[in-house]
Amino acid sequence: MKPPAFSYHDPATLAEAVALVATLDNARVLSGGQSLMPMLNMRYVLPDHLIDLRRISELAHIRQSGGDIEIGGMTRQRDIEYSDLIAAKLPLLHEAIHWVGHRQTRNRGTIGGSLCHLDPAAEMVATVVAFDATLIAQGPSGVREIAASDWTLGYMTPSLAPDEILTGVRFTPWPDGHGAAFVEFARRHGDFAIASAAAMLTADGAGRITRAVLTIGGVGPAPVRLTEAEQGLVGQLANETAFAAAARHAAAIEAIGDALVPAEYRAHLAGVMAKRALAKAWSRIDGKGKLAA
Amino acid sequence: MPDKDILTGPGYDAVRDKVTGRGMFGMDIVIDRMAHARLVRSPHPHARIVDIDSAAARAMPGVLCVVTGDDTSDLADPYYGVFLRDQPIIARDRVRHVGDPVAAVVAETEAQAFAAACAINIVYENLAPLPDIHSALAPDAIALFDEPTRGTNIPLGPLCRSVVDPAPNVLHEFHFGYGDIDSALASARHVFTDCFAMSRITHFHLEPHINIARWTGDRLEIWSCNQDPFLIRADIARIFGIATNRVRVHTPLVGGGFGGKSYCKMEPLVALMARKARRPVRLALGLDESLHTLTKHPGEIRLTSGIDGDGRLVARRADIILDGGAYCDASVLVGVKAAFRIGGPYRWRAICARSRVVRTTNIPSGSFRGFGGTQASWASERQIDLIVRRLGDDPVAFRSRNMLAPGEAFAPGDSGMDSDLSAGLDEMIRHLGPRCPGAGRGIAIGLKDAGGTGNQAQATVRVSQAGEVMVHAALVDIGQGAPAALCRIAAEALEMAFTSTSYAPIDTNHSPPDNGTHVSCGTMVTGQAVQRAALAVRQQIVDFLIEQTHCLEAEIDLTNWCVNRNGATASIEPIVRAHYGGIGWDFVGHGSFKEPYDQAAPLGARNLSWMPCWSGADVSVDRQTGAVTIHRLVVGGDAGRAIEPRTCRGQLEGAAMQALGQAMFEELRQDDGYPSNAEPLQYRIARAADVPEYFTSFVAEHGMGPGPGGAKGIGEAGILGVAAAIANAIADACGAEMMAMPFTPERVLSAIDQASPDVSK
Repeated sequence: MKPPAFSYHDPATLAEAVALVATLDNARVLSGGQSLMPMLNMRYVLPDHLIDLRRISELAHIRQSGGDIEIGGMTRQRDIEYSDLIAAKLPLLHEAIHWVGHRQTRNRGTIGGSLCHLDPAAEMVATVVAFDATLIAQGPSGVREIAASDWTLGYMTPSLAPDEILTGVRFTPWPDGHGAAFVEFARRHGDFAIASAAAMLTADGAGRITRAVLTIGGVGPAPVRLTEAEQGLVGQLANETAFAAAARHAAAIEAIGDALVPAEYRAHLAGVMAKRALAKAWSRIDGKGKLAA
Repeated sequence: MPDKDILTGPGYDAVRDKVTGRGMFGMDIVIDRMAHARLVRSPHPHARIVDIDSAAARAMPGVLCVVTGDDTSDLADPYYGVFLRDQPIIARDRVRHVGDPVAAVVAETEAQAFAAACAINIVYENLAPLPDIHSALAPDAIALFDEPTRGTNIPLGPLCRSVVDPAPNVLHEFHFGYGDIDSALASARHVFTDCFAMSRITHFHLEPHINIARWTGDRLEIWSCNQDPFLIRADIARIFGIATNRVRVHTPLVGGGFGGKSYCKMEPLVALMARKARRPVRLALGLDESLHTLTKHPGEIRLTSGIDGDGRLVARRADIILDGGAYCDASVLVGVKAAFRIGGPYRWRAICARSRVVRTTNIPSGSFRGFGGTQASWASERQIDLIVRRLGDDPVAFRSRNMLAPGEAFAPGDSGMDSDLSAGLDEMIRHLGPRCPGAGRGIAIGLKDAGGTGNQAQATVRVSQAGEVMVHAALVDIGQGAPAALCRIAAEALEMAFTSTSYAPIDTNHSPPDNGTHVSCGTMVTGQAVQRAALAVRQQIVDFLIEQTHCLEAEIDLTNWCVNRNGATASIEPIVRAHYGGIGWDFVGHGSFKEPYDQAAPLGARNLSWMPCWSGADVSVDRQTGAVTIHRLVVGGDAGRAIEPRTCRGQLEGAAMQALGQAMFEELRQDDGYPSNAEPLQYRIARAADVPEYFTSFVAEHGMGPGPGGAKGIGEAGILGVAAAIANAIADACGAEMMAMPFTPERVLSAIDQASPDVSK
């Protein structure tokens, strides 16, 4: 199939792009196009204008600012995958990016595009939520910062005004030596996850968990941060029992069912993935490696 | 055979053309003044057509005509199907599946035809859909057809009974059996009954159905991607009431078939459009439309099998229900073959098999690589494994104890087993190697007959004065490598170089008749005709040279195209030119093959050959998610004698991956009778990443086939046993007994829960 006719714009600067989104009616922003292009071809979306951000070099970057790491919205997923800085400082993101689509789609796909598309199974969204990252949007009236917890308004609906562009996302790395893991279950690698789990842990010398994050993707309409499970983990000795207790919160998420995957199976997988993510994250904490008895 | 042969042998023209992109598929053909067509298809599974308003469409730019069921009224017979003809070439008063063609627009350009098709307004009165066999068999179900089914009952032999329209919404019922089933089962020490289900999958041949039709006066030419041009010629002649010599079917390079291009499909409708438009017309379906054209038969198989105290199979009763979809297509034959093949490669005292083809409002089911044999092998080999586990027997020993010996008749009056089943099983297990640590192992021996019953073919072989060979046959290459195999057979019979051969394009005006690419018959049936034609032309050349030069036959060297006499070498070409004149001469030999009918054989003729599929798999199962990982997969077949060993392996491996797809994830799903993933983007076939870590095939050469040098068919073998082998391995790994395909993680998980509650919790 072919997309219906639209006007194509490829501004060279962020200011031009913001001016375009603020003035054009029924416009869609193209940032990589790994979801939008198929949606156009299948005519699921019928925009009058397409604003392509590919020429705006100021939006493609990975940089350290203070202790934080800022990634521009137009940064290709492939560049994140190959960034030594990300691998060293944001191991959860480094692992998660490998689950995003395929090598070919990662060559084109961007972090900003994925965050705005907001598929319930999107690994980038689950990661941003796990990090409590800050999303940065720019509109005609200036820059707005949005907490990851406020980003999702509903199913595939980001907190972005029609005249705003997501320019980047800012991560605060966890301390060196923390454990992180992103695990996912899909029918085949590259398919949308039926369930994914992201976990980060830190521990004290006695094997007690001092800080925990657990996020489940693909199960509800948007990635879910399991704060109760996290609170339950902190102060516990890291072991099967503690992880199983946390995983029960994951299995209790109200899961989406569809023709392919019944809701109960999805919920069951959420629990299995949560447990596996926690165990894997724990095994990666420096100086630990094994579950306490 | 050196690897460079791949691109240098003339028999590999098609391979080379496909690789370089030079190949001319139906899609590439352009005919002068050619117009383009687009179909309007039913959005409903079952509805009465109340009104078709095409006035607006006909007034649109470029539109030449609109064809509907009304245009079929002056045809001699507007229905098609194999034996039973119930499929109108375009819907007449009713639609019976989503995608049933209702109207066809012909326009100057494809875009105009697409636009006009959207402007046709059709009013439907919805009728109750029959989404599956159970709804169709319900006592109060609506009848899908009001009239008795047209056509002729299939002729069969003494152990068979075939009934057309035996019950409402049942197209065909078939019985096959021998021995006294009741007393045999009563005498058995153990009797087990199990039910198995088959999913609906699609062929997914990457080239969709493409047709061009052109009338010149009362002569019709068709360019069609099909597997059987002579059957299409016969259908067209019958439908239009014209002589077969007024119909010419060209079959260009075909981009995959797997049965999806067997028998008549869009050809008559395109011919009808061309007649009304008075222009050549091209109809190129999209892949999504081909997915709505034909599927593999889903259904259910209930098996009751008895075993004696020595672990020997005694008797089997089988009840097979196949979902035939909306129209017959090849369903009668598939039903016959599924029941006939239900015993598998084993010895039984009694068999009693019944198959029924049930009509539903689904996409028609028809020919699919394996042709009922895949369904039968799946159920049979699953039940064998269940029995082995229940009896605490060994899967290899149990099978070996019960397997047919070479020469032993498959059924009373039929041909003998022409493979050493035991040797093949040993070879498969050797290839499988030591069991992967922690994995479950499953084996299966699929079986189907090959070559057909009463099959026939003709061939012509021409040899020019320069020793160039042209093989003419209508065996269509759908990827199985027919041209190379036939050229090699001809070269061998002629004692000439393979590189001197070429395979002629297929055209019913010039190619010798052939039943087509079906039932893995190419090397055995067409191959024998080619061999005979080659021997005949060889004799002509020898006779000519003896007459002209008074040489001895032993002095003739056709390989080097010369006569060696009295210490001198004379090229043959000048001898031919001296007699026939400067432009030279082609020696032409004709050959034919016909498998005779045999009223004592179960199917009315003995099966030409038998096609085993030795399969084995090592799998591991994630007990918490139900995910199955196939670590090792081995598939083997018996080519009798491998004429093209690499191609044989390609066939086995391609078929095995198709089987793996159905076993693990492929399925055409529906939602209340509406297909929910019948489009290329939604329907997932196996990808390169799905190939198991260790995957290999072997081509046995047991030398007992009826083809040249003991050759026999292998093209469908690889699909037969793989699903059962994987399921048997899953059971071995975790106790989960898979009774339905595909083995999705959630199905495996729920089978694990059934087998051992609480393990996965």
